[in-house]
Amino acid sequence: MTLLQATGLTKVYGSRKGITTRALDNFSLDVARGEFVGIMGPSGSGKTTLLNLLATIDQPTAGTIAIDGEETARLRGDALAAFRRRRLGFVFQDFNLLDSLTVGENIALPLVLDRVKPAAIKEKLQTIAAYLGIVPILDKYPYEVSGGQQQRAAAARAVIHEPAVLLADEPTGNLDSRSARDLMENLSRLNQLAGVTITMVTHDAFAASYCRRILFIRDGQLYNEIHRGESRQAFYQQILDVLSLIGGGADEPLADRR
Amino acid sequence: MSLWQIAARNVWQNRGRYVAYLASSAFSVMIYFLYSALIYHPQMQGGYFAAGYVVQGMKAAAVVIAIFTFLFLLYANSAFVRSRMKEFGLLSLLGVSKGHLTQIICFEGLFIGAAALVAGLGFGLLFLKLFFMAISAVLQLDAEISLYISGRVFSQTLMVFGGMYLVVTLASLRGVLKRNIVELVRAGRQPKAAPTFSGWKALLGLLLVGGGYAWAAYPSVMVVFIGIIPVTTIVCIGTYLLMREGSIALLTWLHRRDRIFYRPGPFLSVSQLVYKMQDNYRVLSAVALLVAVILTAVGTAYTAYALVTEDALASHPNPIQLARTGEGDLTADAQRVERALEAQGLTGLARHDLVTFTGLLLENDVAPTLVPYSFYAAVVSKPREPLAAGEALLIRPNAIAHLPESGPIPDTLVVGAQQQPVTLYATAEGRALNLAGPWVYLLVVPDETLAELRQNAASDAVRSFAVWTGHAASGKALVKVLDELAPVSTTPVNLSGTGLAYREAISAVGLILFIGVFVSLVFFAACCSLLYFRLFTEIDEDRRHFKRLQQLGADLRELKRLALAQSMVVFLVPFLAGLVHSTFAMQALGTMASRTVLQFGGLVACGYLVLYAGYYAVTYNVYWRSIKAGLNRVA
Repeated sequence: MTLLQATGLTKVYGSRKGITTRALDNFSLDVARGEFVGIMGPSGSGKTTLLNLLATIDQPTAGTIAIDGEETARLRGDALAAFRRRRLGFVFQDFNLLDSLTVGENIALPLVLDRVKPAAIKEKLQTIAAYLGIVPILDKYPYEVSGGQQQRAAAARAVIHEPAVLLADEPTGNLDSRSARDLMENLSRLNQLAGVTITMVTHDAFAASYCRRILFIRDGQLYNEIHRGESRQAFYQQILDVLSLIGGGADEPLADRR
Repeated sequence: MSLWQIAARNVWQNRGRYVAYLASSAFSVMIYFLYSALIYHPQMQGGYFAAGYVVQGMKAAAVVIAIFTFLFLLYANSAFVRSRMKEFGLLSLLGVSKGHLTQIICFEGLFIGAAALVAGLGFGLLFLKLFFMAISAVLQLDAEISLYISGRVFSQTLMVFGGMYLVVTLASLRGVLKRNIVELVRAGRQPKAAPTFSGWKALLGLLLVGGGYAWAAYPSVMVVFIGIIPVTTIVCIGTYLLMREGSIALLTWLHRRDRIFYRPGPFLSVSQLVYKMQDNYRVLSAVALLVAVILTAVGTAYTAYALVTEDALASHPNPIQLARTGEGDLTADAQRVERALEAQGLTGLARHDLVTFTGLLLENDVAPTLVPYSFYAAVVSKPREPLAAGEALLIRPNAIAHLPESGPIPDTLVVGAQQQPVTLYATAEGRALNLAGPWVYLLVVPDETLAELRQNAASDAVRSFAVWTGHAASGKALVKVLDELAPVSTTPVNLSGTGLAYREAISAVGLILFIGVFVSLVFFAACCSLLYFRLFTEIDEDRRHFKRLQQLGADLRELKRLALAQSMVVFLVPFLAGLVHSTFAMQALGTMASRTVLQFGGLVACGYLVLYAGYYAVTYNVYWRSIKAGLNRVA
């Protein structure tokens, strides 16, 4: 069953001199409920533009996006904010935790914004924190814990309100390899055991190998699509093969994105 | 690219941040310039304010302005440099040597100093005429102060402020050079340690402020007078302690109350306030004290102005009064007054003549001028009930210290050789004669009593009066008449009038009010820019914060509420604290003046609130706009 359906997405950026850039060109994407989809491509291929459109923080020039049966283009202002708050979860490359809140409060934020009762918030917080193994750091501030812990907290924040879909933008971009593996295993667990639908943009072939399906974009268009079989190792190799074809391999330096 | 260009570009890139700094320093320069232009004005030296203490007072105020501006510039500059540490760190990282960095900072300092001086002097020149006109109007001078500036004013302003900018630039240079590159780059992002609550400090703060308030509310003039300086110091320290511990205690409490804290508004604003507490409480207590000083200073000056003018009116109820001490005739002088009135076309004034004498009250030990009840009833607008035989009404002078009504008091009235027991009622209301000579105390007696005593009066105790009562069509014309008749006022004849007394009172205290308001304006500017810096030093950080919240699904209304709550606390808390401080200070002033003066303080506070709210509205809008500029447009 389709949860996220993007049809004919086109995004054109105009520059001051009248030169336009077509970041996405008639791109379509279907994500079924419970899927773990990766989106890969070289720098400037339109990955982040796509994710921004899905995240409803940018509007497409043409095309439609429907998430859980809701056409996002029809939503405006507060309704859009509410939609983002209730139906979407985000994990960013630079964690995006708020410095003024403790880790626990950061995780609870989506529920607080939705005016859930304190008791219910605390209960959910304990459950999700235990699930991701971050109970001991709940009362610490973000700058007191490691990057890997921050990103796990961000993942907890992204799913605590049971969103329709979790959108991840280079979640392992700022992590060392061990923390990256840790995070990906946690995301994978959330996907398989808790049934969270995940759409992730990444450069990192290793992180991508945890996905069930990967779409490759080049120049704003779909380039290729591969599905994972039994073995993650084989899938990793498959990804590297596609990347070397597309130009921009596993060793491509990470672009700094926000 | 030369260093000059780098420095110029730096200033231009940071123009948003420079605006408040530049505006407030230019404002201080302007105030100082206007002020010294007035002090060194030749008309000030000799003419209008012959009393040297006025000029001395103004010079003292100029020194206060200069010292205060200096402290403010030091603070503002350090806040400003801190917000740009990262930039200097990056420059060093890219290989700019310390020598070059020094040059860049010095050039920048020079730019800013020169710009502030030019702008300040420019606006000063622009407003000089207006300033002199305002002074002439407030002091009701006959001739306007002429437009004149001595070269000394320019050289002094340039020297004082040039020196200040030099010191301030050196201070900021030191701040940058003593840190290494890593510290510079990280300066903006250092995690802030949450301050911890200290019970004894809170108690001490409470005791200090409470003690200060108790002193202010104490109803003894001596106690209040002796305590002014120590108590002010104590309250300053207490405010600082209480602001720190109070905000920690309150915020921690809110943080712990799940029912309050776990709602979108408090969740975001309380946590943000906790996060910024360390920086907030210092600025808040400084602003609270500034507000208290401003409100109290202007309140006091305004109270003095109001009371003195009120007293002038109350003690000079008669528009025109001729008086003569000792035997003699007033008819000729009175006719001259009549003629002058006629020449000005002033009608509607009624003339009352009185020939009377002074007596002595043994118990009260005063020598009142006797006034028959019929004269009193004819002259005073709201006379009392007629007096019975043996009764008398003692009218005391309406001085700053207000005595309550009293009576009946038994006393003995002595006129010449005759003594007569009287029952006294004392009041300060309803003077029948202007307080313009030795007739400070008046004693209203029944007409028959006066007639009986008259024969005993010695010839040097005799007083003659001709008073004109009622309302003249034109107050100005009346004052003109009085001015023309001024030569009449030679001993033993004395000429007085409401208009003259009012004018004298205004020129005596108007200047005090003016100086008070002026110095307070500088404090106000400092107070405003302190708040501005508090809000805008971390604008980049705040933008990031708001953007993250938006991405997480906080809607625009919630974000706006957060910005509003944050800025509101920063503005409102110090205002309220300052208001409470100054209310108690005004209470103490009331004790010294033995009247209620809170209404004057209230009026000043209202006026201040209007200015302050206006400033807040502007600042908040600029703040919200720059936050909003960082948000995603689709929201």
